[in-house]
Amino acid sequence: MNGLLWAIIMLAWLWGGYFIYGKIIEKKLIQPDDSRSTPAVEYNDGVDYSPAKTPILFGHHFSSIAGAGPIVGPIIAVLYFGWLAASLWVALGAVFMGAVHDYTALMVSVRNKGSSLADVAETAVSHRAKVIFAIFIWITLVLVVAVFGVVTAKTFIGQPQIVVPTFALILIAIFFGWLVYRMGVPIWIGTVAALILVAIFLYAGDIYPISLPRNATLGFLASSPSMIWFVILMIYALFASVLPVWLLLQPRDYLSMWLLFLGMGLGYIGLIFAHPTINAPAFTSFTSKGGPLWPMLFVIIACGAISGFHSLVAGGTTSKQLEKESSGKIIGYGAMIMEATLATLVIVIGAAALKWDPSGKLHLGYQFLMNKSAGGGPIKAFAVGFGQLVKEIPGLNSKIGIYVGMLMLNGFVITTLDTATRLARFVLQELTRDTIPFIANRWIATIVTIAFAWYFGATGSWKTIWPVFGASNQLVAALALTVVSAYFLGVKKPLKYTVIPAILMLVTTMGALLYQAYKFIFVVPKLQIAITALILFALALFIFLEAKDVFIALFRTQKQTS
Amino acid sequence: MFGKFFLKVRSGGKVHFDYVIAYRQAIGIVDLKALDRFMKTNDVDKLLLIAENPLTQGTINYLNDLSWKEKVEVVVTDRLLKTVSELKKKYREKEIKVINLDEFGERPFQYDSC
Repeated sequence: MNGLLWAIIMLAWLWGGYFIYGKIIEKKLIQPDDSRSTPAVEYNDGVDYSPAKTPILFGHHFSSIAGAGPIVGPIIAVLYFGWLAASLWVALGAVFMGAVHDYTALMVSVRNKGSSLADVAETAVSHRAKVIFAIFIWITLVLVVAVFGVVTAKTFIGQPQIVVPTFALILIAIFFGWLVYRMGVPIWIGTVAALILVAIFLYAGDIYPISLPRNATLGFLASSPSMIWFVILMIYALFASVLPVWLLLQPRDYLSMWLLFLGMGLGYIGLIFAHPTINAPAFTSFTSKGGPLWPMLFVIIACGAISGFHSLVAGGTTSKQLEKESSGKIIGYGAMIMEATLATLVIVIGAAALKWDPSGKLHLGYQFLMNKSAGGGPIKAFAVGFGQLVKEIPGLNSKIGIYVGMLMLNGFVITTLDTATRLARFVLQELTRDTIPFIANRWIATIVTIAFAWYFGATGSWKTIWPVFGASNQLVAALALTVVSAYFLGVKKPLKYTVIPAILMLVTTMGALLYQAYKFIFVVPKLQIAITALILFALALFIFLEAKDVFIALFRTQKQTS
Repeated sequence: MFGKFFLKVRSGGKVHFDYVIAYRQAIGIVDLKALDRFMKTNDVDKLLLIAENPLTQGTINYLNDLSWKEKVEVVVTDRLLKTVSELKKKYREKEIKVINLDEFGERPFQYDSC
């Protein structure tokens, strides 16, 4: 089959789902009423609560939820299970679960004065549920830091030309933040200047690649060159996560948004020009190196199908800027479909732009590029495949495509590293502020987070950590769906649209965690990962039992009333 | 650090502060919500809100509905960190707490990291 044709079929399904199933969710659950004031209008404080035009809010929400996750997961899943299996999960997951999750999380927050989902959990379930939710988020964030740190370190070994532009992107973001937020330079001038600098540093990276000696070590901290890069990235995350938000996080997120749109645009245009034939198998096997298809496929592709972190954005910043309720569908449901559109591009890159070569010898082969001993991994595989598409665009070549692809993904990953470290610190500070103030100190909280991430990264590989991260992220989604279901039960709305995905994700992710625990205790002993999986399992079980009591109480109340 | 913890345990969960200095470039309702919890769970004499931008009417309306509004003093300055540092020096003999509102309350739960 042709890759372009498959992409068209997928996009038709995804956007058809938006118009048909999105409409059903809107009609049955949300019932938007534009005469009702949204929190953005009612509490307009010009800071967080502030009505934004729908296209602008869509851009903000989409760029906040789309990052490295929907790229890394699908590129691994196609290798393990085949392109059709990965596509089906993205198609069904995004339409029936992920987009429903994002849309309902957004609107439940809107109906609760723009409260965060953690606060809704406290109101709709219990205070303990909120605390457990926060612990859950913290562990997931530590896994995020570890896995993305390891993945980036591998890229620096396999593609030393990308070291300079990756780190330069951080300095460019700081420069941009200073120009726009401190010097008052118009945003478009800052953007153009930043993008020109990105191009210059891409060129500089090609001329001055940075490689570490093959036998370089850092004592107990790092036993190989890639672990040295990992330690450097952890040190970067330590300091970057305490910089003011306006100096690094905000400008870099803004620049990443441009890279995201540039990357998606170039990728799809390249796909039209290249229209490559799919050469990977549609389906490989029910078992793979990553484990059995169920439950592992559903946690390896987390962000492209359903992701719990989206509920944080939906109930965090987006719900406070929604101008009118009827815009909720395009922003909540539509942005998730757009993310699945990105995941679809990645699947086609894996299946058609790269060469399927089980021998692992072909240098443009999928298996070779994913081979960690050859300095490969998901970033390199994606970037090379992306380059294969982009080179077909008149005036561009594969080298430019590879660098742009790698910079785009590395930019996201670096963003993820310090954002996740920062958030983990915030969450740990919130958790310990009243009980263990010593840990609530910002440096201590950051060091504790980094130390755990280093431990995971130093003793595990991205292949072992990624599924645990995916499972924990999906469990956050299951918990968010449970919280919104508790809310819908309270307001007498049908439950099947949110409860069925919640149960499916709960069973799948808890199954995945148990599988991981079993695997890392009995098959490949890695106790730290096994224990983490078991802790996450126990926390999820606790919230589930807590929510179950609330559901029973609400059902009884409804029965008595009727 | 630990002293505050044991003090809190002894005083039934409330810690006394003469001054709480909370700062952010722009202070809004999200910050007031977080401070509301803090003010209700601690014993605070005076809350100094330091910001670069003046509070908007929406924020002032929300503040006026809070039970501890009488304890609030708003300071608008174009030298945010310097003002905070000066206030810290000024009240160094008192029981004070400095809160960076960028890292407080609900804000940890607003971002997607991946």
